[in-house]
Amino acid sequence: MSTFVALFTISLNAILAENFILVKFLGICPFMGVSKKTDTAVGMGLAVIFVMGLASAATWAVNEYLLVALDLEYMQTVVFILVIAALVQFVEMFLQKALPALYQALGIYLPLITTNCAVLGVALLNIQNSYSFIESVIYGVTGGIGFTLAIVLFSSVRERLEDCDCPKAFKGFPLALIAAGLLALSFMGFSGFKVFG
Amino acid sequence: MNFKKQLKEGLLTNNPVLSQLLGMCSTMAITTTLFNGLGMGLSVTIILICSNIVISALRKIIPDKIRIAAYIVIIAGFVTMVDLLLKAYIPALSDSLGVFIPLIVVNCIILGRAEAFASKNSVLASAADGLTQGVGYTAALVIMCIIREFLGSGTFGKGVLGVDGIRILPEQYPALLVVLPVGGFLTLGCLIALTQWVNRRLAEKEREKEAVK
Amino acid sequence: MKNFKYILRLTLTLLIITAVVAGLLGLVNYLTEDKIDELTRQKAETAMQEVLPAQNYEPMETSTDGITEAYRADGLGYVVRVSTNGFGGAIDMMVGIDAEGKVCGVSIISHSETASLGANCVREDFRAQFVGADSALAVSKDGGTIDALTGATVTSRAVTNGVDLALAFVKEVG
Repeated sequence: MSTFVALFTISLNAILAENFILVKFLGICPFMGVSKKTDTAVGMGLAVIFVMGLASAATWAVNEYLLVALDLEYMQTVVFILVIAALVQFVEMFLQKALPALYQALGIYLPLITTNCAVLGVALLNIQNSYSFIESVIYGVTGGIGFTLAIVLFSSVRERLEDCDCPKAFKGFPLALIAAGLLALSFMGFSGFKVFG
Repeated sequence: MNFKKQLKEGLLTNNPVLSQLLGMCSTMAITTTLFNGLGMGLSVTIILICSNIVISALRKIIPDKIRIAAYIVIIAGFVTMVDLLLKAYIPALSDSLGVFIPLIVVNCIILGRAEAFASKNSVLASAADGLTQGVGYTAALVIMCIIREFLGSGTFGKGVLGVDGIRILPEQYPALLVVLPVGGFLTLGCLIALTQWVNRRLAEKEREKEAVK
Repeated sequence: MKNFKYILRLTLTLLIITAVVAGLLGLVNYLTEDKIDELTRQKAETAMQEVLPAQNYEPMETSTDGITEAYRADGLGYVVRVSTNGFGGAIDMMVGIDAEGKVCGVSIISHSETASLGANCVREDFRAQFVGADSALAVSKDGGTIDALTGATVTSRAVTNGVDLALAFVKEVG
């Protein structure tokens, strides 16, 4: 029971209270870059959930059985980014061969994910919070869900910003940032709530 | 390409944060005190110069197909070195920046400059590019920090000028909201709008000059 | 054949770069390792001296979740190192408890809380609230006596829970 509660708390926190984009500021580049249309935002979100879950599992295993065992923890950053890059490449090749339909939908977002700081961030945070294997995977997947939630919500706001009337200097990016700020403000409402006492 | 022009580009017309819109995660996340901003800015500048030099020196050796992977390994190497050195010699900075130091690896500025500049130019020009872009990044961070620290905590120079900095606003007035994530988005939004405005004015002036000629 | 040579070249280049980077990192790590260990140890020691000054600290066994280290301090009391989850990650703190089971000091060793908000948990006036307590604590929002830091209830709760854990631990062994 208690493990279930712990996992539930991790999930809820990762999705809402500690949302990767709006609270932790991880993954802002794709958040800004691919949120102009809702369809692309959904595609990116799904790809991120997938990769974050896989990357959490892979980096956890590599850290536990390779780096800690060999006393090479200081190599974490280098090894993790390589694992993530290789993983993304592998997923891309696998999807292309096995699931062409899914590849069509997600393919173009995959290369962008290597440099998404949310992915490396989740790998490093898993270690920092000393999560177990299951906890890491759950944190990765739910962190990705949080990312998707934020990017999809934001893209629908942004579609409307396109043709609004505002000072010229604010047109485009600055206005999008301010809208994102207001979205972050609403997510603050989730911070600090307690799950199961 | 002369240095003066590069500096102007790095600081204003092609500022990595305010014009190229790169590396925004760290820009918003850590700019709550001047100490953080300066520390992050300098770390990134050093890494950017080093990685630009090495990548430019190796640009003819690294095959095109694996260049991104090679760049990432080189960058990650420098980032880890800086991380370890900070932990050993400036532990206060390492504590307050936390996970954002290793995350410099995926800071798009560094990979971006490697791909856009260092892989095509000489070592010296790349070093200069690293320096000017790094200074531009640091400048953007410092401006963000000063604004957010003043409005959010009511102080100036926290961590740099004494532990609590210089208090400007009495403790009960500052708007806490500004040091929260919301404030990061809002401040950066306004700063980018300002940069766009300045850049447009500059461009207009140039055009007027040309017209007069 | 040409293709094979090309692939070999790709692999070798990447391998050499990685090996050089790994070698350099090993060197930097070798140079900084002792210094970092020394700093970490020093930090813990300063915190122990701060919460309960003593000549000797005798390590004790712990198996409680969240309690990372515990020491008996010369018969003056106990020093317990606790780690709880705050807003931005783990908060690592040292709690000193005197022979009568009262808290005599709390020191935050490391944290990753938001600057100007949760990061204020290192402030003297916040930590001083715990001194003298001998039973379960809670922040005022939850009906307790500890005044939470402005805008950082999660952090305040985490520290309070940490002190609680230490108190419970000492009650059990003492």
